[in-house]
Amino acid sequence: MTAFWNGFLALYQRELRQDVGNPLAYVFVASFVSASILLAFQVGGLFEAGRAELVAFFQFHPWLFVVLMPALSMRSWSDEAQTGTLETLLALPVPTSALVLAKFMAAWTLACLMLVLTTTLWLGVGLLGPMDHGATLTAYLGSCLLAGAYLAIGMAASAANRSQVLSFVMALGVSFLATAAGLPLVISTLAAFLPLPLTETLASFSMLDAFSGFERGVIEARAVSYFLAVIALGLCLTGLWVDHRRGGQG
Amino acid sequence: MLKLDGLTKTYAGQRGVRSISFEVAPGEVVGVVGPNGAGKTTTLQMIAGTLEPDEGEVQVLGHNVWSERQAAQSLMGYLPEHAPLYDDMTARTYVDFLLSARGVEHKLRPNLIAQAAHRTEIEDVLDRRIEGLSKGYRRRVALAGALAHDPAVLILDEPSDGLDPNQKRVTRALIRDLSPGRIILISTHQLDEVATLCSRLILIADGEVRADQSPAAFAAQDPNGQINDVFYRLTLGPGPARSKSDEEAS
Repeated sequence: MTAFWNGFLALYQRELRQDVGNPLAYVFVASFVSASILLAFQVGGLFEAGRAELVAFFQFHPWLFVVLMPALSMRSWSDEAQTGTLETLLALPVPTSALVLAKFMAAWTLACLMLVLTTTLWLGVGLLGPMDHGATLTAYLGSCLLAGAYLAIGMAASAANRSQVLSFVMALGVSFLATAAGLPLVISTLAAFLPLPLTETLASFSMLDAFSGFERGVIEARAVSYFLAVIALGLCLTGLWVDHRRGGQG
Repeated sequence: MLKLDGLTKTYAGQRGVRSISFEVAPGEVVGVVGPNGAGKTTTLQMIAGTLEPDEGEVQVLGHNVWSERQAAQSLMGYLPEHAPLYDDMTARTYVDFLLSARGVEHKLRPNLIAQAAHRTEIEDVLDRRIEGLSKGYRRRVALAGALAHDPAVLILDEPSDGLDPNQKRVTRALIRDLSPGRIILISTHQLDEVATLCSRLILIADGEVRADQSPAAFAAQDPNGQINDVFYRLTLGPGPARSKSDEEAS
């Protein structure tokens, strides 16, 4: 195996083991599962809709992820920098890209596992009436990509800061802006100050806009490209910031 | 051969080290000494490839640390200052993680871990979580991680810091055992350690090499052969005034 894969696998496994042994990871997973299901029933009116579908469940994912993904990613790099273990990692004969990808994939695996745990809701609603399982699967795929995009933003924020709190706040701010840009209230407010084409362009960069197709069970190439581009951008920034530390900055 | 040529590093406009050049041949144990903030750790970090120099280069057995970083780092074992470790791991899983990231085959790892544990005398805590270990054990676990893959070049930043006299004795004996055919570079504040362990002493002060000679030749600069007095004179001033009783005692 190459140095890339050796480093990737070793760090990926280490990160996953760390999550398995960390009570906070269980609290995090339990929070998401309970909050998403509670919101679907109490606020989204899952039963009141009278249809066997999970739109009421998925519509809250962007807002839950805005808070939970920065919390999941905040310690990934800032903790390494603070405790000094980043130096141990940087002394390994492993490309920075392998380290960045390993940490991201480990966090994304946990986020996807968290989504898998909510499939009990899918099974339950499926028993109540005829359900479009393809559309639900598509929505789950979209939710995975959405979580990945927020995680990539969180990773970049974590690599840029030694403080976990600052990383969290920074990621939360960027994630919130990237999500809220698609809200009708924000669009109409922006339209009052900015030219319409610019407002529409800004709104089209919203996570809500990209996720809306998946919620309806439609896989749009534009939306998939959008999420993959956000992930790639986040990981590139993370790699740049980690390499920046090799230059003795930060 | 380990070769440093004109290494220079600046931090926020202030010169960290300037034009550090020296060579170390296999079999040599070189002690890098100097006052706090002199640039010892910066120099070692640039050799280990965790900090990029502004100018100059480092060659490790023919590999440039920056243009062939992975090849150079695969030949080195590095113990960073303060021996940073992952507290959630056991000593065994920590060393296994480093070996795995370095691409050491799975079946070879148990043997290498056992050897490193035996050499550093951490066998009795191998399966204990690192967070519960004493400072001395933590440093020895970090040392085990640095030497487990049997590197040709060992870079040790304060290897005996925090060890009790018996542990220091063991560590020094280990370094002596490891030295044949290997390049070993030690940063330390303990001049007695350099005198007993190292074949050569490099004094860095204000970011520059002030002396590069054998510990005996270094000590011989003082009429009474006091290595501490030579250190004082070369780093701070003309040397402390010595009373007649001091001279008689020495």
